[in-house]
This record gives sequence, C-alpha cells and structure tokens, in this order.
Amino acid sequence: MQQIKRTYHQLALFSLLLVSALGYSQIHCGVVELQSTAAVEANMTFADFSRYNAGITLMSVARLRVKVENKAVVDLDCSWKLRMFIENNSGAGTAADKWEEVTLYGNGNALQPLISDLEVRVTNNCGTPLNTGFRSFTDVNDILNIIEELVPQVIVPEGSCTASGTKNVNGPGSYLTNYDEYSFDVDLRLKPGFQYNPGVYKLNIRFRLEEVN
Amino acid sequence: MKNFSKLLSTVLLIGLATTASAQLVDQKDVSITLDMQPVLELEMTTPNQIDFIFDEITEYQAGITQPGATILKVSATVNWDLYAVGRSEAGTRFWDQQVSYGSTTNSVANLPLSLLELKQSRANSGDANATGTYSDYSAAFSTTQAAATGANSLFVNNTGSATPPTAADKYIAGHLGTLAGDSMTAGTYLNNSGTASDFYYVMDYRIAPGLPAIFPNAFIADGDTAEDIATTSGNASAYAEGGVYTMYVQYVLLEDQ
Repeated sequence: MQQIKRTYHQLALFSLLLVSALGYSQIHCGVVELQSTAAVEANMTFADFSRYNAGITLMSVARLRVKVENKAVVDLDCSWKLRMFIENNSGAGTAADKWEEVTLYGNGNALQPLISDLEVRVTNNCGTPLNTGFRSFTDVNDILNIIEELVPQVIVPEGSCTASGTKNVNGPGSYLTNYDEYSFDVDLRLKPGFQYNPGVYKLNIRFRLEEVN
Repeated sequence: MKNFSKLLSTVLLIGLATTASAQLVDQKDVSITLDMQPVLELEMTTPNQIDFIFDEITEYQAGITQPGATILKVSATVNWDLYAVGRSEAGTRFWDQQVSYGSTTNSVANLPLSLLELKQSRANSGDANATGTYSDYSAAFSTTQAAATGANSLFVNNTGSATPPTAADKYIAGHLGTLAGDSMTAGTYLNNSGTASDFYYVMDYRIAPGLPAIFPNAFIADGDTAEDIATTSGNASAYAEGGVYTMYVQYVLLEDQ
C-alpha cells in the first residue's frame, strides 16, 4: 500500500512538472503589441439611392500597427498571428448571423441585415496577409485570419516581403523599423440592397494579436 | 519525503497558474454603425400643365387623349403604395372654374374631378385584397360609343382631400392594408428592368365630354356609381358650362403601414 501511494505521488509530481514545462514553453516573445488610433468608430449612413445601389466603401477606417519583440535571450520560436473576430452583442439575443438592432425607423420587409453583407479587407504595402481581398464573416462564430499560424510552424522573418514578396511575415519586428510589413490598413465595404428594415444597426470587429505557442 | 513532495507540488501549481495564462496577446476593436435610413423617392416626368382644349365638335365626341403625359419612377427601401387623387384649389370634388363663357338654365359649372380618366402602363400587382370593382387604372380607355364605364375615372375624396383611397378604390400600385399582397416591395426602377418593372409607370390622360357634354365616364371612387352631370344634377338636359377649368392630380407615394 505504501508503495502504491509513493508511485502515485511520483506520477502526480511528474505530471505537474510536464504541464509546468509546457506552460512556460508558451512564452517565446518579449513584447506583443497591437496599436491603433484611439477607439475606431466607422459610420455607414445610407440616406439616398445612389448609396443603397452602389454601396459604401470606407478605406483605411483603422490602421493596425504591430510590434513584436523577442525576449532578451533570443527565442527562435517567437512568432505571431493576427486574427479578426466579429461581435453582435449576441448575449442580448441577436441571432448569430445578424447585425445587432439598435433602432428601427419603421416597417420594412421585416429582415435584419446579415453579418455576411459586411466585407472587410486587411492589407498592407507589402501585401503580407495571405488573403488581401474583401472577405466576409458568416456569423459570430467565424474567425478570419490575417496573418496565420502555419502548421507545421514556419517563421517568416522581418524583411522577407521586401526582398521577395513573401507573404505571412510573422517573425519578431515592428512597424517602427519595417512599416510595410507590420502595419495593416482595414477597409470596409457594404452594399445592403433594398430588402432590409431601415434602422440603425451595430457590429464590432475585434482584431487579436497573439504570439504563437 | 512526503512533505517535500507536497511543497514541490504547491510551488509548481502556483507557478503554473501564473505562467500558463501568460501568452502574450493584444487586441483592438473597430465598431461599425450602420444607419439605413428609409428612402421613398417618386421621380416624375411631366409637363407643368396639360391642356385639354375642346374647340371642335369631334373632340367633344371622341374626347382628347394625352398619351404618356406623365412618367412615374419609384425608388423605395420600404414596402410602398402609390395612388393618384384629384384635387382642386377650392378643396372640393369639383374643378375650379377660372372663366365662364356664359351660363344658362341647364348649364352646370360644377364639373366633377372624376371626369378625368387615367390609364397606367402596368397593372397593379399589389392588389390581392382589393374589394372594389376596379383596383387600378390599367384598363384600356373605352371607346366613346361604348357604354359608360368608371374603369379609368380618377379617384377623388368626397372632401377633396389627399386621404388615401379605401380598399374599394383605385391605387396605381399596392393597396390599403398591410396584409401580404397589399403592397409593393422595396426596390428601384434603376435596376429593375426599366419600363417593364413595377417601379415604372407611364400615365395616359383622357377627357371625353360626350354630346351633350355630361362626361359619361365620370364615376365616384368605387367606379360603380355614375357621377356624370346629368345624373348628379338630376336634370336630363344638363350640360357642362363653357369656360376654363383647372384641377390637379396629386400622386402620392407612401410607406405601406
């Protein structure tokens, strides 16, 4: 019995050591910072027919600046990914694929705008994102990658784009020293058509910069 | 040994708790406000004034038609109805007499606004629950020798106001009520097959006085009750007093609600 207890303790200790070691292994970078101008609010107002017909495109509504620094003791595994999430205050009852309704102007066709009508384009001077065209979210569960986590892990170092047009630059670097690869412009486009209820609606796009484990 | 194990476990647990969640992350938000304002636009191409001058006997007999005098083009982001209503400056259901060429015992100066006939180029597709004999002005103009008909007589309110027609009266598009089939859906003539769409109407006008000039095709709003001069005056010998008369047609585009 004593022997079993000892073995159990040893196993538990070993497990903790392993998990602890893995936990530590997540931190490869010293600084991971995403900067942008103070709270970005984009307004799309459809008040006449040319707008409804042609849609509205807002260029550079936000400019994201990435700064990822290595630790003092350089870790060769330091890399990052940048992703987009969409939020519609679904906790308040908004359907997963609809815009959040703030107010209605009157009776329309009883349809609420779809999240998928909003198109987002994120790009930079080097065109480092793997997808540089307009894309849309299916619903709030959809996540769009800008700089992806490659499997198996591939670290594309700073300066690669300038030299060869390589995409998905994800090594340590900064917009201060390499603006074209570490800054991103966000463009929005929306063409609602005529099928939706007139009113005011809201969405929130969250840009999330993470170091890759 | 046992105490050492416990101590080590505790230290490792605390260390794990403080480091496992230490993955470096930063995030920023872009908040988007979509303001879709309701738009109802009625674009009208028409002369400022449409003249009907009856100075020949054949014109009294055959009437005068002004084909395609008005073109109506609709753009809307909401469900909509469109109707025409006859109005006069005096606010009555009669034409305004500007000049009289002389009155007699049997001449009548109160010409009903409904004597004006309209014909729309495209039938009303939003009249599923209309209850009247005629739900729109899409019928062809009758020959003046045929029996009198109210199929094309202009809708007029008893009070001369612009109040929308009832379910029994004529609309150009859509109808009273908000049930399915009572309205036209949102859209615009700009991207709906031009003249063949429900957002584009060409309006013809006709006045047929007849001989004597009693305007046999004048009917009250429901299209079933005659409003010609002889009937309304109760005088079989009555006829329209010669003169200059004016009125206006008001086209109203409104949200179906």
